[in-house]
Amino acid sequence: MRGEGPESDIVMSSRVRLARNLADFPFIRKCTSKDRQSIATMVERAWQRLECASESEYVDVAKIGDLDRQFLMERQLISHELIDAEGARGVLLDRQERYSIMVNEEDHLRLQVMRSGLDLEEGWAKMTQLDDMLERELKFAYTKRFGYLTACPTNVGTGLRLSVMLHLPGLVATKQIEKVFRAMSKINVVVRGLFGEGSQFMGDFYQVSNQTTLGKTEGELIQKVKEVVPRLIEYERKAREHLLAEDRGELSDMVGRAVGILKTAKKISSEETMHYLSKVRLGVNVGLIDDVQIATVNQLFLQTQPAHLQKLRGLMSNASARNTERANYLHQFLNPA
Amino acid sequence: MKCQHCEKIATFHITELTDPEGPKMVHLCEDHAREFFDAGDSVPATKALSDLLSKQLQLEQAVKEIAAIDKKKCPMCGITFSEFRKGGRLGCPYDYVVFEEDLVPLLLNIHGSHEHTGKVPVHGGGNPERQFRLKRLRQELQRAVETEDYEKAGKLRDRIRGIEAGELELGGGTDADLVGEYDDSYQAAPGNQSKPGKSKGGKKSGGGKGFGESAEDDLDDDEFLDDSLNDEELEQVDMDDEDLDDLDDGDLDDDDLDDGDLDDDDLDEDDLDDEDLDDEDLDDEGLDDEDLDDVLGEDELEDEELNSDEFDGDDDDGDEDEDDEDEDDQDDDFPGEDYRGGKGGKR
Repeated sequence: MRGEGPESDIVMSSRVRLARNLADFPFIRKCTSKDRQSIATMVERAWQRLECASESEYVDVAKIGDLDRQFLMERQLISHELIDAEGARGVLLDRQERYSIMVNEEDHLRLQVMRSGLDLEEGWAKMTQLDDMLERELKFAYTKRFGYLTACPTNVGTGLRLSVMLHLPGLVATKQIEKVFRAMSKINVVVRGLFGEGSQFMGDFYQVSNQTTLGKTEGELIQKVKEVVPRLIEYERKAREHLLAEDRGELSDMVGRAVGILKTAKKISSEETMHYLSKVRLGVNVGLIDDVQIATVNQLFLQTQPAHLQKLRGLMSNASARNTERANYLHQFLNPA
Repeated sequence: MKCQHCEKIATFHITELTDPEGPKMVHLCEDHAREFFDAGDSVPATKALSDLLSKQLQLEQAVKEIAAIDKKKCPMCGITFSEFRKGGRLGCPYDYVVFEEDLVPLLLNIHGSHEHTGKVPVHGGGNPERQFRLKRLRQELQRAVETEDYEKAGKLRDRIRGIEAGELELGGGTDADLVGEYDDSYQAAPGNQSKPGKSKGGKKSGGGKGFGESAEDDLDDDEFLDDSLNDEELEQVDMDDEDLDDLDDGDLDDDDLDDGDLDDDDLDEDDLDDEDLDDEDLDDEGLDDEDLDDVLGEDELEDEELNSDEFDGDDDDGDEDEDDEDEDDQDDDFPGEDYRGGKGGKR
């Protein structure tokens, strides 16, 4: 969520995900613990033979503590499913966080490439390069008819899921968001929450992704998702214009209250923080707030999440302590001395 | 209740309203119900009933088909289609071969397509059918070595090498002739090109092993071969063997088929298709290996190095494996997950 690149006030980031499985092993649900261990070892060793091995490291998710797992999830480098999985599992992390490769999630390999703003083509270019490199070392399950084989038939074929993360507070405020979702579903585009499938819509962040993975080329899938984004940007812009023109008072009140709470609250949960930060972000982007930088807001979204906060401010035993510390942390950035 | 006209069970209970003596119940089996309606086809009312019947028959057929599909089981991982439907996740890549046609409606529903048009793996990828065949052949190779059938072992070795080098095509060929019969569930697999009838009384290939066990078999093969074969025997095997290039129908005579495991199909032209021949693979793996250490291609040796620690600890299972296989022979069945679960301490 660096919030850079074109249309960065609305488009946060692009994500390209690829599902791959080793031909010589059963899918995860039928893997023994030995199978999982073998897969993790094979992938890690294959990776070590690649040139890009030096820019990354393998994190053994089975061995690290809960805080580290949560931390990686908040940075969207690993998924909930990987945390909840059993047995040997891990993630190959690019130190610059441009990509990560989860091992033994729903599929043996889940590769993801992250880009700022709307940049699916570049994301795919990097992805296919990673895929090709790995494929030199590992045999991926593939048939001519069905393409790359995945544990769930919803991912079979290309194994490709393209997501664009959007900040749509205008559509939420004007109560247009549901209508937009319905329109999206008709053209096979799925809308998910911040952390992907099954996650809640937090902070007015939405991920739009392709629904299908089979029967279209990667280029066609990119095109499909890419086509949708400008329309969503347009709807969001119209919603913001409408709020400014017709409901300026309401908008100012909403934004002002959000800033007020974040600046003065003594205890605040991470969900509440995200909710108000979203309104502040909108306020900054439409020019109603001029003393807060957008980069600060973007940073706060990330740093106020539970694991991040504890990495920054030390371990806290309970949510209440974290809520206090979160409030202090927010004051520090929003109430400059 | 029995059909009024035969011994079959009556599945149609029809109330005949047009009978001059008043409404009358008739109880008929499917065949006689068809006759009953066909006979009265000229009467419009009966025609409507006939349509209804035909719909009912279609429905029953569909239910039967679904029930049959649900029972279908992957010989590789042991998952049934029913288990897949309940869990939403497949058990192994080979499921896409076993359940190929059954998955099509689902894929059409999800994706609006059942044909991949995207990226093709630069190096060909791992065809699940290929993996399955290789594992079967390796199991059979181990068995051939155990029974000191070195001639067969040599042939199996060449066949394994051929597949590994991409020299033998998979699609049209069958290993059934070499590895005995597949079990029913495999034969039932749509898209499976094996010809069950071709196996000439060959012995059952025995345990349908899961992935883990098969990999471990690879290791056992190697160890066994190292221990049990001396150079003389190796030479003998090599002398009896012809290079794949030289294989043609002429190479196999009735003597070769004595064990019942081989027939001419074994050497179908199909099998010697060069389509899959990949120079790179040949270069990498080389076909010049002389001894049985190379029965397993370099790929496998490499995997084995990688996995030696993962699959060890099972060495002392050797006898147990044999027992299991015997049991499997009797059961004539791929045990799938139960098999794995049944092998104490394997999990």
